[in-house]
Amino acid sequence: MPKSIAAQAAVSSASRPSAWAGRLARNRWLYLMVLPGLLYFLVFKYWPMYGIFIAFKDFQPFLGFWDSPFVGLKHFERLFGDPNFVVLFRNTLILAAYNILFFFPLPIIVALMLNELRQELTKRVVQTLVYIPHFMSWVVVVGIAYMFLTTEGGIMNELLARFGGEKINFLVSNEWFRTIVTAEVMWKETGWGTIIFLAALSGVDPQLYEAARMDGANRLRQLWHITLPAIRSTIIILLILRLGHFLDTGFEQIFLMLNAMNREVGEVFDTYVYSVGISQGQYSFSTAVGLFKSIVGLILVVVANNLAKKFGEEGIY
Amino acid sequence: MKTNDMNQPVVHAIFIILVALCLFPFVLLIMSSITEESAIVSNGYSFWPSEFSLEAYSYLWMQKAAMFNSYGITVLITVVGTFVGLLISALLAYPLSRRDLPLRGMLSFLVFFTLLFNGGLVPTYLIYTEVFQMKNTLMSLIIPGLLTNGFFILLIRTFFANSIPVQIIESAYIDGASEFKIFYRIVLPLSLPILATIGLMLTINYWNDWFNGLIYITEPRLFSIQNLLNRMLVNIQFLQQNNLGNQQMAVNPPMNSVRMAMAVIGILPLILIYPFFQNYFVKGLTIGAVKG
Repeated sequence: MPKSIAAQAAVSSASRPSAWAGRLARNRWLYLMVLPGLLYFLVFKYWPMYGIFIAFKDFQPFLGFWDSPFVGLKHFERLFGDPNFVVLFRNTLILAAYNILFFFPLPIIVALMLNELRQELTKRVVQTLVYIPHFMSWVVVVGIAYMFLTTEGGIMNELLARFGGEKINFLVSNEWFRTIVTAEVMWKETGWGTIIFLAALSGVDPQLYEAARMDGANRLRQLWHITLPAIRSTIIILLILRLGHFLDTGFEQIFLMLNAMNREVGEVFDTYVYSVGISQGQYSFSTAVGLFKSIVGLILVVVANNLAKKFGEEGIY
Repeated sequence: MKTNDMNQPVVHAIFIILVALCLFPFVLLIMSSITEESAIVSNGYSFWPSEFSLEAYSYLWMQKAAMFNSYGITVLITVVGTFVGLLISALLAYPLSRRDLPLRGMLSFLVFFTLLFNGGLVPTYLIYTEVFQMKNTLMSLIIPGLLTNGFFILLIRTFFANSIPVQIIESAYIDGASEFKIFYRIVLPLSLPILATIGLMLTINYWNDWFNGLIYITEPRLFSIQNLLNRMLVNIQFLQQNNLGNQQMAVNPPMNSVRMAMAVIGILPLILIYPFFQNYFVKGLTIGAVKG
């Protein structure tokens, strides 16, 4: 339907260009409102995209973007031939998989439980309190984690020692890195993540539950037939967007948790691009790494969105 | 209703544990900041320290010049960024919510495509520093990545489209009100929930940001509170070496507790303004929530 209307509009506007111009002129104030935001996106988001082409050049700051020599796929060949590439890819994928498996479902579960709370006041108090971890910056969260995990008086190690165990140097350990990173995300973002699901849930008509109860549906059936369908599209949209950022591992957190001892499991694309690009100044190579990451993300979004549509969901575009 | 109330004790118990998990680390942070340094060294961190001390805070007070400077930077970028970000987001989202606007589809695509693809860290850094000359400027703390994003525009646009009746706008139009007048006299006042929600998100993002400071700022006078804190947490020696710019300080600072005191000072203002936003919160996203 919408397509045919758009087609008609196109036809009528093509046949009557003056009417089209008239419509543009009539809305000039609306376009003026769009202008600052549009300029922001064009200048600060789209202009940097033009910088991507240095991935195919040997960018040297004194030569500038245009005059730096063109080298074709050299940087991509170096990336794919580099043994580090496999390590980076593996570390990034595993951390992303941990995130989707262990973190992603948590806000949904907590939101569903919050939805079960019957007293408004209790619900509000709980909500207010579980949002608080989100207010801490990663610098602070990592500082808090330090108090729990350090071998010099950290709470976990004191407990281990008290029960006769060996102290574990969590912060420089390869085995614990992913667990700690995921646990920190769970602590910081679970409560905050419920907001969007609670918003979707609050749109559910209470009469639906009333009717279901009349028909003898127990709580589980209500959950299955009313609550979950109500947030299904929200879950799918967030999952698709999450897939688009599948290889984004949260630079701030990983960067702060990373040290010489756990780099082998902790180095991911984001931190690698930072250290090779910004710190060491290998601009073109790190741009190629970043571009590879962005393209994988874009492909994942398109595939996930098409899958969602195939299963009858709305998708994001 | 009876069956509903049967699971309440279980749900309550789960939430008591959950809330405790959320708050304990925060309590530990505050407690550590008022623990005597020697108690941390000998007994480790603890929820109830054996010896209390405000030494860490008095140490920070001695560094007040650097502290207030960083605080000033953080407050400035937070206030300016939140205000400007909210303004241009609302201004952009409103026309996009008007179904009768020509070119609406193309404009929306331009905005939302940035959610799926971006220039990446290094090209963005190079354009911002080489072309826009942003290194070591306040602009570099306000503009990159934080001012607004496609997701905010999407939320605000959906709120406008779903919660402001078209009839109100049309009748105001017929009465001769200009588009700008309609926007700030009708649309904005009706949209306080979503504006407060996005405003809070912007405030948190600006207050807690240290990434922009990490890559664009090298001059200590432009360090935000998070950058100062990061220096202290990452590099324990930073305090001793630099004494936050106070060279006369001869005594060793109580480092462990100072770091925690600094973190407490960094969080406090956000926690304090939070209740003022909280009322609007879920309401704001209810109607703005993404539904495709």
